[in-house]
Amino acid sequence: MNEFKKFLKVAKDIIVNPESNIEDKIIDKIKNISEEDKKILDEGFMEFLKKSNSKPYLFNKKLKENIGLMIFIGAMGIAAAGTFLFLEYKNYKKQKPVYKKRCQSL
Amino acid sequence: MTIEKNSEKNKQTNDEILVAKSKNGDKAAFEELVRKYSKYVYTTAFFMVRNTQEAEDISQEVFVKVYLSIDGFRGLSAFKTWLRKLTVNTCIDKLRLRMKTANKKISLDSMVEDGTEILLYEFNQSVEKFFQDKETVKEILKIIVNLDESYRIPLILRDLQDYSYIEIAEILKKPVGTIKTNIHRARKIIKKLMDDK
Repeated sequence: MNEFKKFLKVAKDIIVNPESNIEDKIIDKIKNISEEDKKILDEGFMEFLKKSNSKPYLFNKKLKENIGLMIFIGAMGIAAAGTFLFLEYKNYKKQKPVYKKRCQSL
Repeated sequence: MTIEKNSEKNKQTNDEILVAKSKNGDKAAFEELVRKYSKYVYTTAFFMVRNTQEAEDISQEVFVKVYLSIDGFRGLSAFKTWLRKLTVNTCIDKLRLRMKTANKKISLDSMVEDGTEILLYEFNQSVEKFFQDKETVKEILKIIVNLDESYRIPLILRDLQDYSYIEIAEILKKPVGTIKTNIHRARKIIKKLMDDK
């Protein structure tokens, strides 16, 4: 499987040479854009453009894609908070007799 | 590795300059973007729709869309990433419109004879190894091109276009589990066919 993955990685660098000069065709097309051509900016495309320009959408997408990392960070946060509370509790317990004495003197 | 990263960063900065110039109406800058990425867009479209003429039409459509909407591109992602997503979306729309070629067998060999040449860029190896690997990669691509659409498209998006499983599921409107299964099966088919050769 590793060998296969290696070849797929190489395949990413592949370029299929078009039969005709596609660059010139595209440039010609762009020089002669008609009103009819503008219809390709349809609802689907506008939605794509809106999403690709939206920071909250892209952030949300990144969160979704890195769910494992988010769970790990969350778990580490909970562990840190747990440790902090435990240490505070231990500290509190140490101070308890003094606190009790104070309370009694009152 | 650092050199590669720097070169990638330089490319990106260069793209940013070209995009900024294009936004200001510099047609020469936009033409440079076309020359730089037209074959990349064409290759992506070709492997998705498996038709040279349609891949050309899609390439034209993609660049017209880019040209008409470049003012709206805020640059939150790299230009190449944006272009790749736009190309994939356009291809998916076309594939949804026509399901005719879904099971049609395409011969990459005949396409090469017809003038469709497959090139490998940025491939730093000895000449002998280059030819050996190039042949193997061509064999793999031949198999991919002939895979059933339900396997081919997710595999291309995952292994050749680096999409995440979640993104593929969103694009193809299928559950993530189905996408993972189909990609796994596609890889197994390719591996088996390669082992049989």
